[in-house]
Amino acid sequence: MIHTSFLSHDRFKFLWVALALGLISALFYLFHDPKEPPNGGTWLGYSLGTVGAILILWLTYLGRRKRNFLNGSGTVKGWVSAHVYLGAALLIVGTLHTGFQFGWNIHTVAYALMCVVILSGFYGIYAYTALPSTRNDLKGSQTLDEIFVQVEDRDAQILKLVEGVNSQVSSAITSALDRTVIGGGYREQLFGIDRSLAMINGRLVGNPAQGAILEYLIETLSKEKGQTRERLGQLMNALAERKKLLDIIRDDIKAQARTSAWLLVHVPVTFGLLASLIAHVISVFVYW
Amino acid sequence: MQLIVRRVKKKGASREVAQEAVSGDLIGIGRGSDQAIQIADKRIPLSHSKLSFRNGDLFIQTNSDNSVLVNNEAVRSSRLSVNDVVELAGYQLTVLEGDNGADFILEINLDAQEVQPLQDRFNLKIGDLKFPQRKLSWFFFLTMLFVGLGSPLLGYIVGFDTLRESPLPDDGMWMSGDLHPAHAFTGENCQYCHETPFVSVTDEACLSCHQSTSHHFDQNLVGNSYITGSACQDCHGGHAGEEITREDQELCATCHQDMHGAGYAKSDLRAATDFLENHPSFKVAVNKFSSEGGWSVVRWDQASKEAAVDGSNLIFPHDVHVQQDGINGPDGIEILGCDSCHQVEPGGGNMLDVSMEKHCASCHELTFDPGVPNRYVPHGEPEELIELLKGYYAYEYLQGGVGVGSSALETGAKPRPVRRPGSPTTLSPSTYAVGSDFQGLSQEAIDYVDLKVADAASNLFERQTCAICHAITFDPSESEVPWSVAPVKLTDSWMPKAVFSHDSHENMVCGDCHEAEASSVATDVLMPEIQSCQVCHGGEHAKNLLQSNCLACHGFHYPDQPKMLDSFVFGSDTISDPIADFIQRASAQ
Repeated sequence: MIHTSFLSHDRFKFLWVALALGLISALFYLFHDPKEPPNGGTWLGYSLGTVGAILILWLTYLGRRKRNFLNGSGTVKGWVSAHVYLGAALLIVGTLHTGFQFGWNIHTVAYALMCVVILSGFYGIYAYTALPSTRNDLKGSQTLDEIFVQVEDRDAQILKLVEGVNSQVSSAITSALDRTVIGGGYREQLFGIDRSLAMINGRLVGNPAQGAILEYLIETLSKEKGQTRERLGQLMNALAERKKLLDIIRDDIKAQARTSAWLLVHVPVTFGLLASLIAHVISVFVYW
Repeated sequence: MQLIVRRVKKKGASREVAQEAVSGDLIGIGRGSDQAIQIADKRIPLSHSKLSFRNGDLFIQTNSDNSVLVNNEAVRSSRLSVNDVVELAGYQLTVLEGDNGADFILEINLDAQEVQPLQDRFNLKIGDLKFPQRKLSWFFFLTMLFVGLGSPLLGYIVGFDTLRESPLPDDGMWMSGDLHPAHAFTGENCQYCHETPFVSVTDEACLSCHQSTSHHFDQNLVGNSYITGSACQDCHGGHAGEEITREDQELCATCHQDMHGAGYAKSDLRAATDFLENHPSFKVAVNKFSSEGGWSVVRWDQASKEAAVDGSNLIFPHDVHVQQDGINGPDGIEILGCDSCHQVEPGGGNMLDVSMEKHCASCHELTFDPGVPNRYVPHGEPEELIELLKGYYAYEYLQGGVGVGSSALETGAKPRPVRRPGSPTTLSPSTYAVGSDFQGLSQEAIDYVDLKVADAASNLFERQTCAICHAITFDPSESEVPWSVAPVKLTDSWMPKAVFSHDSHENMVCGDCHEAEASSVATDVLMPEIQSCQVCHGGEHAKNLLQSNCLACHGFHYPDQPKMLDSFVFGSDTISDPIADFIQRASAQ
């Protein structure tokens, strides 16, 4: 499975490389006595900066390189593994390069963007390792398409059942089916926000997790007797089953969104980082 | 408006009908779930059009770019009559006469199109949202490149002042750290120091302000320019707040570990790399007087076999003055401490000058005649004293005649002969009868005055008062004033190449460093040797001692050395004048 084994690729080869890089940088920093406040302009500062800049360029290239599955040298898994571990090491190298001297300037902006890229990458590792199993746990052995078919099946069943009830109740139920919303925009997908509505008693009301329509049915049911009550009971069962399926779909969409959305930060910010890195390096030498 | 929405769908041979009642002044049609009339089909916008009711008529108005077919005519808005057919995305909406209190019935024929599968009706993946990742990446890249580099660089084209006044990002973006508070006046004007792009800050830029900064040594005398430390930047950084000076002893040691090896062939300085481990003995500066050359300062190595001799020409036993039992003063026994005479200058570390008038005179009164204890001679030249004595005794003669005030005459004793044993001539009253000083006075008066003056003077210069502290020589060929007092000079700075603060050593007692109690002569130099300092002070990396680098005692820019100004040529066009510029800016505000 690619989504977990990139961490342990080649017996954690790149983990050891990254640890060694981080440790060497830290040791140099600890034993370096710069004779001035630590900053990026000491010999160690320049060295760490050079290593960091090369890492940034190389990691960016790796990010692109790992899309080509079969071309070139190495395996995708190997590239991902290197990207992840060396990216983590960059956090140490880059931080030590600053000498913990921060301010409102392009240099600190470059550092901050680097942190955003790396931290979003850390989230990506979590997403790629933890979320897929969450999704599998949710769905059992079923695919999302199968669950959708089941929802459609429930819809058909419910539409048949409503034929026997009065028009007010039936229009409320059909409106709840029609106005069920799955997914949506970024916030809806990422946070599982449910914007479903229902037309109950001529009024559009929010129906998140089908709560409003189920409540309406419970109220209606309690006033009815005999055959109608039995029919409403069947409808409620079907609606409840449908709600359960929708919950699974919604959680799955959430997990799926979270697995991919971090890249929307990771990639564009990387390009911001590249530009600010160029500005950082050049400006330092313009005002040498 | 009351509207009944009737959705019709073919179901085998029969039709499936769903009805709902909708009311409101404006009734929305669209894919969105917030639309009163919702048609779930991706081809239909979230909000497509609105139905309104005016004067019994029904109207449709589409939103912005949408158009709609009304009776096969594409329109943006239209009045709808009964039996009109509206078509959107293939769905047919037929307007029917209302019943049961509804104004109209809107029948939607869902058969016109297959309703899409459920999952196709929604955005289920982030990928479905068409995130403009590529555009955003370019946007970030170009924005950061402009903000961080392009815009600040514009200063070289449009001028930095113009740029800084504009809202565009300027070279302030590049400021890597705080300036030293003393440099804060340069404000945003990076060019004061960073004169040429890609060229490190030059000494000329520093010296355009720091013209009066003094050199470490006289380059003409030493015959070398600086070798290490040749650029201001070798020791001084720019953007680290107040910490812009390197203070590590290793920096000084690059030359001082071996001055000859470092290229200073004429230097006689011994190696120094660490105050505890490798530092030469102190050289105290003592005064020396010669009648030919006058005063000179001699540096005396404390490690040499002979103890340093200070040539102040003063007679002063420290031990007598600071003995624990005290010393006779005018009002009985007085116990003197070091601070009775040596006081630290205000705010500084050095000692104030010791002076006769302030520190000695209260005990060492300059009286000259036991019969007149309230009369004093000035602390001045012998000639002045003699003049004063003459004046006083002439006055005494006039006041009371013979015998007045003189203990010697009162007791009938003969005046002491005013001459040193073995001296060829006797200082007799007749030798004083010169000039016109005593014209008009009787010979008796002249004799009286001369005798008294000779008596008092020999007493002052040879036995008491002056002779207690001063080395005095007697030259009989000088008949007028045969005594001369050796000139006195107290050492101003014992270790002129070091800075010492008594204030920061106030927790110690004086005797820890200065052995005054054991010193009986003024030629003793009571300055501590290096071992005394090393009891507490170590080098920069010392363990269990006060860590002291070179700058703890020594400066780099010695005030007695030539000014930097002398070595550089100013006024060239390339050198800005930040001070003049700053004053101009400040006064313009």
